Amino acid sequence: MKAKEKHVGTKAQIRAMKEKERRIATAIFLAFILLIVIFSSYFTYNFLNRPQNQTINPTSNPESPQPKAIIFDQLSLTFPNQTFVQTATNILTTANYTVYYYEGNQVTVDLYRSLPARGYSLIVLRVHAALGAGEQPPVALFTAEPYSNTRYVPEQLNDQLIKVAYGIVGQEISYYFAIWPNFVKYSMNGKFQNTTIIMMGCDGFKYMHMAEAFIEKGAKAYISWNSKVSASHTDQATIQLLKHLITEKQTIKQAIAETMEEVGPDPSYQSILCSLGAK
Amino acid sequence: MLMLLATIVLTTVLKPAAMASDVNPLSPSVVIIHTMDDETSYHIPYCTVKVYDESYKLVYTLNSGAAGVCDDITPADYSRFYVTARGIYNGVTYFGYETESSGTGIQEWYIRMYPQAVGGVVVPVDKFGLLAPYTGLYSAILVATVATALYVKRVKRRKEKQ
Repeated sequence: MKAKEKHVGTKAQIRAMKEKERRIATAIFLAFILLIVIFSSYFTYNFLNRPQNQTINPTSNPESPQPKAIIFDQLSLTFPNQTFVQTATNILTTANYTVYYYEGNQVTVDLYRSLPARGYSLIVLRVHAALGAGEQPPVALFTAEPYSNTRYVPEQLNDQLIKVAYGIVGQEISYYFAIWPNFVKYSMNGKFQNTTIIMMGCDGFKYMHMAEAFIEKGAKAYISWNSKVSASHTDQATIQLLKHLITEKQTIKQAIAETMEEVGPDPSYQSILCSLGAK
Repeated sequence: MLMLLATIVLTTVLKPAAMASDVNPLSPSVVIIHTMDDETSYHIPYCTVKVYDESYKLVYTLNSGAAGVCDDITPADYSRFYVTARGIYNGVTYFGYETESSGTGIQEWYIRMYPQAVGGVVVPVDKFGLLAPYTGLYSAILVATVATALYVKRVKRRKEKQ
């Protein structure tokens, strides 16, 4: 009898020990699940959270009858030209345009994204541009936003954003985001309304992808160079183009023809201005 | 076999020398005349460089694999020698390059300088690398789901036994 009691006591002890072990296992398991939840939340926050669209000008009135123009001066980081900015602004303001100017670091992915919805009549993209690899590669328009492989992941996977570098001899290499035609087509908010785009960077018209993307997005015309171009030449040509287009109110074709007559092709790269959608 | 890729890149800012009167420094291109004298080695500080602006930078890329510092480069194999140059003239950035500058004795390079284009380079992105964090996230969710399923199954079995 005594031996049986002792046996039962041992069993109870073993059961109690097992119960204790089970509780510890449960606690460890719950802690593990909690860690995974925290880990998942952290990644979800970091990789899926996008910054809010940048406010361009809180005081601007979107219903204003005054035409609006914007100058993206991403080139100001590498080829600053205050004379260009002042002259272009003067031409536009004299013609009653409201001009918004974004210099260097202000040219971000989200600024590009919000472009169509802002109702600009004229967009001047004074930006670096680079051709991709392969046959008939699209041109990529630089932002000043440093590249990160944890930002804009869906856009990167869908060939809307790409990693670019200036490739200037003797300069430390920094990487930036650049937009591809697919970004214009699928990620820009809204539609352009009778907007003329002047893309001052290289190779904007080497192939048609970017031009077609802007036109498909509602732009009236897209003007750019058919090859590489130097900063000085693109600045000089764009000022002439604006004079003909805005001050003299010429058609886009006329303005381009006269500009080319005046400044000629780029002396080093022989590139000329071309347009799509222009009359 | 010559190494195809550059092995040493040395950068030095060269002091301006007298402007050559026979070369027009104006756009579209600027010619710099670069002279070096040494039979067996290139001594960059002692070379004569005629440039039109003090901010020219010469970037030398030797394919020899030889070590060196900018004031005394002695490449083991200098039969092929790449030189690129960058400079600013009248606010415009120019660049140029010359390859196959070879031989011994006095070297004279005529490097045609072009204004830097407003272009750049597209760098391919490793899409698998972009997905890696997501893979981690989904793996963690999968592990958690399987662990929960196993745990529930175990608890049920235990209850059935009791």
